[in-house]
Order: sequence, then structure tokens, then C-alpha cells
Amino acid sequence: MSTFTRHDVEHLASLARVELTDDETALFTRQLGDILAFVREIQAVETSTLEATTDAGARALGLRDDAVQPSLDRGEVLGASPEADAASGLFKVPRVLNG
Amino acid sequence: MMARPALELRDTIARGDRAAAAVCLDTLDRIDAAPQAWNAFITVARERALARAAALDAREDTRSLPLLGVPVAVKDNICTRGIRTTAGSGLLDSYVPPYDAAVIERLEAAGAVVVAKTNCDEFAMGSSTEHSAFGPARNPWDLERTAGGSSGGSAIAVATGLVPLALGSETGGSVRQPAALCGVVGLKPTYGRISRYGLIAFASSLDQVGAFGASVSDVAACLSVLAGPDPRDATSTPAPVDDYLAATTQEVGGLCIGVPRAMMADGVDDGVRRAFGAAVEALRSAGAVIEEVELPHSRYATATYAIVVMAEASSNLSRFDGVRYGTRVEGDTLAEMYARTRARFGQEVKRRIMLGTYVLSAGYYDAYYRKAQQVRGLIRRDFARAFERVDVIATPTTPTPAFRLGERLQDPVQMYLADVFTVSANLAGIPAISVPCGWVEGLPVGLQLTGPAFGEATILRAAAAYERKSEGTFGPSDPLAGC
Repeated sequence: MSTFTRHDVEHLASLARVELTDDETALFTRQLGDILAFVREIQAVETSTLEATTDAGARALGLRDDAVQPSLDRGEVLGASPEADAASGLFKVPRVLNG
Repeated sequence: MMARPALELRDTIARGDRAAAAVCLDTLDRIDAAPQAWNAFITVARERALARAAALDAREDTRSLPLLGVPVAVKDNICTRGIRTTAGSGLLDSYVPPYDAAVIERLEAAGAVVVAKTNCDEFAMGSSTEHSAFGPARNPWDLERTAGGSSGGSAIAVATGLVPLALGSETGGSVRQPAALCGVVGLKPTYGRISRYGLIAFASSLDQVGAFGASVSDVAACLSVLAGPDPRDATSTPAPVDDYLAATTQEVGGLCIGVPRAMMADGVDDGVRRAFGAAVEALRSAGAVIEEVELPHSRYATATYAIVVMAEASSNLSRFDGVRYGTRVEGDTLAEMYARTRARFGQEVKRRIMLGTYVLSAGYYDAYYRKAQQVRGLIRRDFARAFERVDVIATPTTPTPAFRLGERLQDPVQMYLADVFTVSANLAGIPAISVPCGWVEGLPVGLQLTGPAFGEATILRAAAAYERKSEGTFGPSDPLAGC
């Protein structure tokens, strides 16, 4: 895809679960294509024999023992939620299934 | 001897000449009285800070603490228990974390006092602190210009002398670039050097906590406190922590410093070029050997970086869905609630989430994301080869001094190019520091020194030697002089 259409932007927004205003859709229809045209310069680099680099090269800690550790207080964590039922220990969301 | 405000303040308190609480109160009052236009802070933690300082004064065993009583400002994407942490986002404008980030625990264990949370681009996405839901920060040397970003507020807090130390975070230059544009020292450590537990994730293969200070020694002392493994961040490493402060007292003689001249070919401001040239000569006259090096894939770093960060951001920010933290905007269905809540992201965040979604999608993954990962490997290999010949690589930190507010807002690609010299170190996972190297038309510019993985001691040594050599050779030194 060389340029983004309004439809492409709407589709991406829907995949990313982001609601856009009409102005944003118009702005992004122009800008996303410009950004993509810029980043496409890396396609000139010969990489056919290379592995993908998926990390920043850190010598990581490795795995810890599979043992129970102290964690955050459940009530405090739920307290940071926009809607939770502290007594039952649950986050609340809008209805997913009807019936 | 170079001024080292954080360590001097610490010594004053340790000697009993000033109480930590008095220092804290003075800092808070100066923050309150600072010009609103700077817009460096989102939240001032007055009560928590005063309580911490008073607790330090009440203890008998604090004299050896390395940052005793030192006030520190912290970028607002680093979680602070009981203190609002917004990441510069409207979506988190009322989020109060139930825990402290690892770096906050370490600072406080060392006797430091967190006084305020600083302004930043939303979720650290930006190079100007204009993408903040709390309004743009402004460069204290010229209020019409950017302080840099994304950690602009932290850079301002140190540049104006409100605090001697501040924390920021780095994904592609977000500490070094604002440090350069505001005229302070800024360090991005090796990937894995500092725990990221409690740092709000942006691009996990790149993110790292960094530090700002008014001198290299202060930053070295701060790194000594922050560095080390943490079981809560599996990417933190047990690599030995060097004596960073001792490294800053060593001379630069015997070090070989590489200069990638080809990177200076285009787009670098003449004044920046002159200041950089003078800095390289200063290092040479201090005893360093200067060699030319090649980093042939650096020209692809900005594009490679853009793809990697967008992909990782789109994944990381899926957690902001109105369920577990932050703001929720109601909808009739779960999907509608998600989309309406996430409508509160700013435009730069939306751009990156959408392009990240695009480059990870079937049909485009190989051409963009996988390709970027391969080029990333080449960029890292360039550095590995260069560091077989040289100890440190020197470049300007930024191609231009601070640009005007608004100038790049409508052109995201121009904004991304502000980071052309800084993103490579993040892609390669290696440490780099920006140290002030002069002024261009009244605006500060920075010298960037990059080292091999876990080579913090070497770049701190070179930076401190440069700092001594250049002391007094360029002014002004009073940030308020420009107001």
C-alpha cells in the first residue's frame, strides 16, 4: 500500500480500538502515509541472510524459582480501577453477552 | 574542582549544617514560585516529600547515605505510591499507583527525597514535551522554544536549579535530547542496567530509566544508586556495577574516541557542528586519541526505530482499556467502551498505535517489522565493530539547538528526525551520555558520548574529563539570565 485512504485509517482505528474524530481521520489519512513512506527507506538494506533481532542484547536475569512471592494488595489494585467490586475482588466491565 | 550540586548538598546535610526538611521546604517553595511558563511539573509531592525529609532528619544512621536529603524530580511515567502518575496522558489524569517503581525505592533507600513529578510527552512519545495532556513545557533559555522531550520537565527542573537531580526515561533519546537542549547532563544507561519495574511501558525492547544532573559526578552518583538487578524486571541484569563516581575522577588520556564523520554530512546545524568540533579538539588536547569510525547503517536508524517503537507501543498500550486503571468513558458495549476510552489518547499516541497495528498485521509484518528487526541487528553490529577499535564514540546529541514550539507538530517525520543521533544507542542497547558543549545563538547544545554495553564507567570518565577541560570556556551559566 503506497498511500492510506480514509477507509484504511478507519479500519486500522477499529482494529486498534481507538475512536477517531472526523478531523483526526482526515489528518491521519495524510500523515500515516507520509510516515510510512519515510520508514520504507529501510527496505533498501540487504538483509536476506540475517536473523531478526528481537531484544536489546541484555544479559537477562533468567527465570526465578516458581515460588509464591508477595504481591500488591488486591484492594489497593482494585481501588485504582474506574469500576470494581472490591467485596468480590472483581473488575467490572459492560455486559459482553446478551440474554 | 567542578561544581557537583547534588553531592555538595548531600555533604552539607550529612555534616548537619542543614536539615533535610529545610532543604526540602526550600525546594518546594522555589518550585511553587517558578515561572508557570516553564510548565515543568505535573504534580508536586509536597506532603510526601516533607514527611520523607523529616523522617531522614529524625534518624541517627543516615550519614553514609549517598543521596542524603537530595531533592529529586521524577518523570511522570514512573510510578509513585500514593502520588498521581499520569505519563502525561489525559487517560491517566487521576491514576494513583498502589506501588513505587524500583528506582523510587532505590532513590529513597539512598536518602533522596522525591519532590515532584515532571511534565513529559504522553507515554513518553515525542521529542518536544508538546504531546502532553498538561500543556507543552518551555525551554527556560527561550520560552518560544522546546525544552526537548519526552523528559522535558525533568531537564528544565535541573537546568533551572530547582533540583540538582531528576529521573527521566529513554526510548530513543528522551533523556539525552532534552538534556542537550536545556544545557544539563543526561545519561541513558545500558539496556538492563536499571530495573524498569514501575516504569510505564512504551517500547519494551528499548525503554530504560535515565538520569539528569548539573554535573557528570552527580549523574554518576545517581547511577550508582539506581543500577543493579531486580527480580521484578526480568530484563535487568546481574552484570557488576562499577564505581561510577571514581570513574569521573580519571583523566581521558589513553582513551580512544571515535568520530563517525559521515553522520555529520547532512542536516546538522553549522553552530552545532562548530561546537562539536571544538569539543572533539578539547578531548584531544586532554589526551584522548581521536579516530574516525564508520557506522554505515546509522542512516537507517531513525526509520528502524520508528517501526520498532510503533509496533511495541501498539502492543503495550493495549492495557489502557478503561478496565484496570485510569479513566473510563462509558459505552453500550465492551468494544464501544474501549474505543471511547482510548479516544482520549492524544494524536501522537494514536498515530503510533495505528501504525504499530499496521506494521504488525499479516501481509505487512515481513516488509516492516521483521525488516526493522534485521536492520537493528546491523546497527548493533556496526557498533560492536567500532568498539573493537575505539573506547567511546562522539557525536553531537542533536542536529540542531532547540526548535520553536509548534514548528514540527504538523510534520511527525521532522519531529522524529530530532532524535537522529540518539536512537541508535537504544536500538543497540548501549549506554550514552549528553554533556553540555557550548551555545549556539543563546541556546545550549550537547556532546554525546556513547560506549559499549556496560561501559558506563568509560563514558562517565570521558564526559567528566571533557567537563573539566571545558569548564569556564563557554557561558552563560545562569539559566535565569535568559528570562
